[in-house]
Amino acid sequence: MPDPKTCTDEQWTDYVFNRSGVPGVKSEWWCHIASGFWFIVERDTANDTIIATYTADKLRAATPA
Amino acid sequence: MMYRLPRVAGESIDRNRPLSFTFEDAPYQGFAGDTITSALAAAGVMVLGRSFKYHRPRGILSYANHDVNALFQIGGVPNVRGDVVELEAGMNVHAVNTSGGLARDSGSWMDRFARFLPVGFYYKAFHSKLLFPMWENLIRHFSGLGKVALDAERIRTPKRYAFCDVLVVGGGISGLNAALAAAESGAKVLLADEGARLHSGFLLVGDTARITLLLSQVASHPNIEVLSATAAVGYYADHWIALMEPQRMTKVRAQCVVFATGAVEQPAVFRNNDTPGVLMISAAVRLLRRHAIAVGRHIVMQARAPEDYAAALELVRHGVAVSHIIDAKAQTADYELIRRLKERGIQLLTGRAVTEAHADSKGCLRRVTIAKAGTPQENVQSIDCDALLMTGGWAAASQLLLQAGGTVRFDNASQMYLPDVLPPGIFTAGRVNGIFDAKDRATDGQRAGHAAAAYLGMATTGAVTALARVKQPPIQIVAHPRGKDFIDFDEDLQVRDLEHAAQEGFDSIELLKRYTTVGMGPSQGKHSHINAARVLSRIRGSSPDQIGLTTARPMYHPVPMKHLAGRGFSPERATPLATRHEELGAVWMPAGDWRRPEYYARSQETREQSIAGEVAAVRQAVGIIDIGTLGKLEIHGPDAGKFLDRVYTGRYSDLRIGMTRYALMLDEAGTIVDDGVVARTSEESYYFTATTGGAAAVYRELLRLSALWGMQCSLINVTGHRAAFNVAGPRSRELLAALAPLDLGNESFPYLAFRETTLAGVPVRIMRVGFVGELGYEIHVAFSQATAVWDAMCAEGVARGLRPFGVEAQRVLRLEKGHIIIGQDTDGLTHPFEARAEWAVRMNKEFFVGQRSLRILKKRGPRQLLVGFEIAQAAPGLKESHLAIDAEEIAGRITSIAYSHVLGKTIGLAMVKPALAQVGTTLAFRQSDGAMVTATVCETPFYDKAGDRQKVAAVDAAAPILALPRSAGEGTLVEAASPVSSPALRGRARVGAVVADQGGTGEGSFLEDRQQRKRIGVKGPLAAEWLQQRRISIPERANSWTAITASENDVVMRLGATEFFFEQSVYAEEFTTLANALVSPVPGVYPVLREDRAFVLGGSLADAVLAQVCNVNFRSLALIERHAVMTMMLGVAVTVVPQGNVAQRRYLIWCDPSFGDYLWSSLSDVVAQTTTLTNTGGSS
Repeated sequence: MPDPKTCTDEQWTDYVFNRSGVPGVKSEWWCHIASGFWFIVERDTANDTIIATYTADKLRAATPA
Repeated sequence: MMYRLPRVAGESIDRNRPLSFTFEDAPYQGFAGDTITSALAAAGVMVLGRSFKYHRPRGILSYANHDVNALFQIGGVPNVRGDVVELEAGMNVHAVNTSGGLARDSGSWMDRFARFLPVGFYYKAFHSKLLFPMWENLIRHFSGLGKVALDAERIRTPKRYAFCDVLVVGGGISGLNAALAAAESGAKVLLADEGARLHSGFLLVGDTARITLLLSQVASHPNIEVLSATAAVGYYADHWIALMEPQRMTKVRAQCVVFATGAVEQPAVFRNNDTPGVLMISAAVRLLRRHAIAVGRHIVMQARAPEDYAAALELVRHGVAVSHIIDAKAQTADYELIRRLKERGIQLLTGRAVTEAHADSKGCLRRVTIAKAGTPQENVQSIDCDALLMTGGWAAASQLLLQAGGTVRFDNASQMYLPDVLPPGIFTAGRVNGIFDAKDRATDGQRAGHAAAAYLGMATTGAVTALARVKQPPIQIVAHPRGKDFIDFDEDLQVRDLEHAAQEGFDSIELLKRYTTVGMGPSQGKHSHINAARVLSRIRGSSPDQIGLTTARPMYHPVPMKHLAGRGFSPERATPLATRHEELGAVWMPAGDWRRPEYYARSQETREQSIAGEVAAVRQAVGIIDIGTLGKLEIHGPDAGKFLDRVYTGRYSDLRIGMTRYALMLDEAGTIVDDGVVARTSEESYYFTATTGGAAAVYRELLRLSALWGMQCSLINVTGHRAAFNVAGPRSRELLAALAPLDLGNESFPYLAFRETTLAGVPVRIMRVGFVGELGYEIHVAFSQATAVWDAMCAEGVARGLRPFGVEAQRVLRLEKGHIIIGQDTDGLTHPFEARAEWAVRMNKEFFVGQRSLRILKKRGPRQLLVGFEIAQAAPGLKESHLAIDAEEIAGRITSIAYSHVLGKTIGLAMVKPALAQVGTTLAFRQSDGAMVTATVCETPFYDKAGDRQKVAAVDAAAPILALPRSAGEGTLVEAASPVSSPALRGRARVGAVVADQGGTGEGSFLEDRQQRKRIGVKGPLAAEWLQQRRISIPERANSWTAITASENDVVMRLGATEFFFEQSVYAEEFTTLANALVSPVPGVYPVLREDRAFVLGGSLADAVLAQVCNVNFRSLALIERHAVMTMMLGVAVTVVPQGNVAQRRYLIWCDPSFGDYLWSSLSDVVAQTTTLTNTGGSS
């Protein structure tokens, strides 16, 4: 997410509305519905292979808010 | 004419068991072990059906489980496949797709009309809207197969889940060897074959003893489970395969898969190649070996490969007369073969090809024309015969492989598309690899079985030698000048149809398929794809490799609809008051997963009168509505307030304890997605609501945001665990005062306040709210105690004019107050400035979801605005979604509209363009009938603009009763609610047990309600530590359980890392202490209301029951691990604890109480229907 305070309207709009559908490695949020447990899946949508899974803690560690 | 031979070694018929049946009302006889088709063939019946489009007579073509022209109607069951389904005594068999019977089908004029029905005819002819209904009627009559019996008995076909290490699809030589090799390496193997018996494709060819041994090894191997008469019909992601058994569908999750799917013989293409009596060589061989049927008395054969000659010799050996063999090859150098053919009186004609088949008056084969191969004008010769065995070579059955993401490549030597790149965990064996020799297929099967085991990390043996592939000569298909040279027997497509399509530009295989429908019939291209590719290859001058294959989509094999229907996993939720509503005459409406009373019907009253009466009761006296469907959430922790500030547009960190505030939720685009009310219950805790439809999604998104932001807060969803109702009206305070030990005065319980107290002795949470615009209280109470509170309110309310009201009355009431309903007055694009909800938005906050987008939207100004409008009189023709028209342009739409009796006019909300939003503007709405109705934009709220009525101060000073017109249902008060349970809710027993015993054998399963138990739930980052400090033993691992007492019935579960759920039959001392310790707030430890519905499922068939309702392999979970599994069962989130011992397991099951009745009745159903018959393994 771009910093809402500093980004331009264009940058924000791009973040909200534009997603690349080109097959390739995507970072997706997955939820185990029965327990409400969320985690992140890196998945190659070209061949439906899962590359990595991790919880949001790791995401935060990698990209400080 | 076909006929039955004397006994053939290995035949699958039982000649001691003749079976009588009728076909087209004439009596016939077959044997046990016959299929419908073979029984008819043995009786000399050649014409079995009529073709789909031209109604041409058709007979046996492939006898390989995809003869689509031999489908039958048996009683009420349409499209029974004659080559698959075994004959039963007394069957009443009819052909499908005929008009007036098979023999004199009046639809056969279509055949002569054929040249007027070119490919793409539908696209070209039926685009006229005016004529379409006429054409549709005609086409529907002539097309489509079979008749559906509308009065058929309702059945629910079971489905189940199964699991295995290796799934082997196909029980031929290679499949059997693959299964055995994998099983020997230690893998659990599931072997599925469509034949009623294994190895039925080509029975007992060659080394009989060896195959018999192989079959018995497979049958007795403890690691192999065999599913015969079971077709694998579709491959889905991660080795998830649909298996179609005769009585149910099994969805199997395999660790890896071996496709030993074989190959399918293809038809040769010449004029009238569909004549009954023209069939494939492999069909003749199968009929001979399985059913001892000779396909004719004068047989002509095509031959392309050594196997074809071997087939001819086999037929002759059994006394079947083959007179000629026609081979397109110029000559053969195999003099030994020529000698043997000569010995048996077979004339070999080399360098020739069949160009045309001729039928007799009954439509059956009479003679064939042959000519020089490649030059059909030369050496033309006619041969009389009653059977022509044709072959167009073999195609690998690679459909499942392609669905699995594998690729195929055209192999020139074998003239087949053979597997090229296999995805991980997918293996192929046997003919599908182009390997036809029996010994080599066995070796290839073993190789695949070992490879599968190695893939699973199991030790395997066996080096692999290169195996020889079959060699087949190429075929070029040329159109016959007079046509009727069929490529697709399902869809009646001729060579020239494909040529025309290619000329029109549909010359890629995918376009050709869609334009001509080649391969789109019931056989899904199993005997048309290759020939279509050949035709296209010739037209385009490209190699078959460049042409490619289309992927047959799942399900690629015919599947009866009943298997796809089955039990739906769509849960129904119910509030604890459902019985009460039923007793009060509720008329139900769906609301998401729930049903809500739309209104309460009364005798002698119309719907409108009842609704008006309910509205009047709220305005004049007091009304009560069940709002238990609202989302009910809690958030606890040091960051709870900050978290709510970030997810809602308002501010909650500064909310005073014991007060509530409206909450509006946006998405990141600034669109309104939900609303509710937030109450602060303590320093670090909030209780808040979400809309009925949005609750599940809101809770899920909040969980995600809390994970994403890493804030210190715990969310708890008590939507189903708490019931709620809204008591509203001038006399609501008076009613409450009679039941609650609480000062309800404006000072101590002001408007928008929140209180925890008791009502009729039951602990409740009360919020003073004003949604319907009167003095009103939302009462939130535990699920199990809701009925007691409701009953007490009703009993106390009778004297005060209490009346229950439904959703429809609530809509009118809130509209009078101008309150919006998210999703009705807003849509997927509405933002707060358009909905006039700026007052709920704190733009000056640090951050909230949607804030940044709102800044942009604010700059842009609104595209539309929500306005109130009024019409002086009733406007019954005007409905929601009717358009506002301005200068002949669409200028908006009505979002809500109702006639207000209290105001004496029609009021509504409309989303209109800003230019029309000024108060006083005239709006013109167009009704469905085109009539225009004008309305005036006005201020909202329409009713009680100052809001005095909901803020009314004094306890005893009830607001003045409004005078209402008589028609508004004045004086209709509620009767006392009956405390007894209603018979209308039969089958929803709350306690009890279902026991299904299989004929007194002790085999069966039981389901028991475990409702009467004591529970405590806690959650929070410090919960584990806190419990340990109090010397309470808890499970160490997440998602596991331990026993509290000596009984396995008393358990504590650890759900995830930080949540604990205790359940005990009685309150033990430490249990009571624990409950008491949670009454006052403990930092980092939050009580969780647990009103779960609980069951125990047990008995020898418990696993078979679970396999039908839940996609978890419980059998693979070791009991010693003490798992507590959170998963979905019949569409409901459940927690399951497997207990018991290896011999017999039992399962404790918990779910949200609002799903309890649904889960109970659905599980009871499955228990009752699960017998040993439906329990043939798969899950072990």
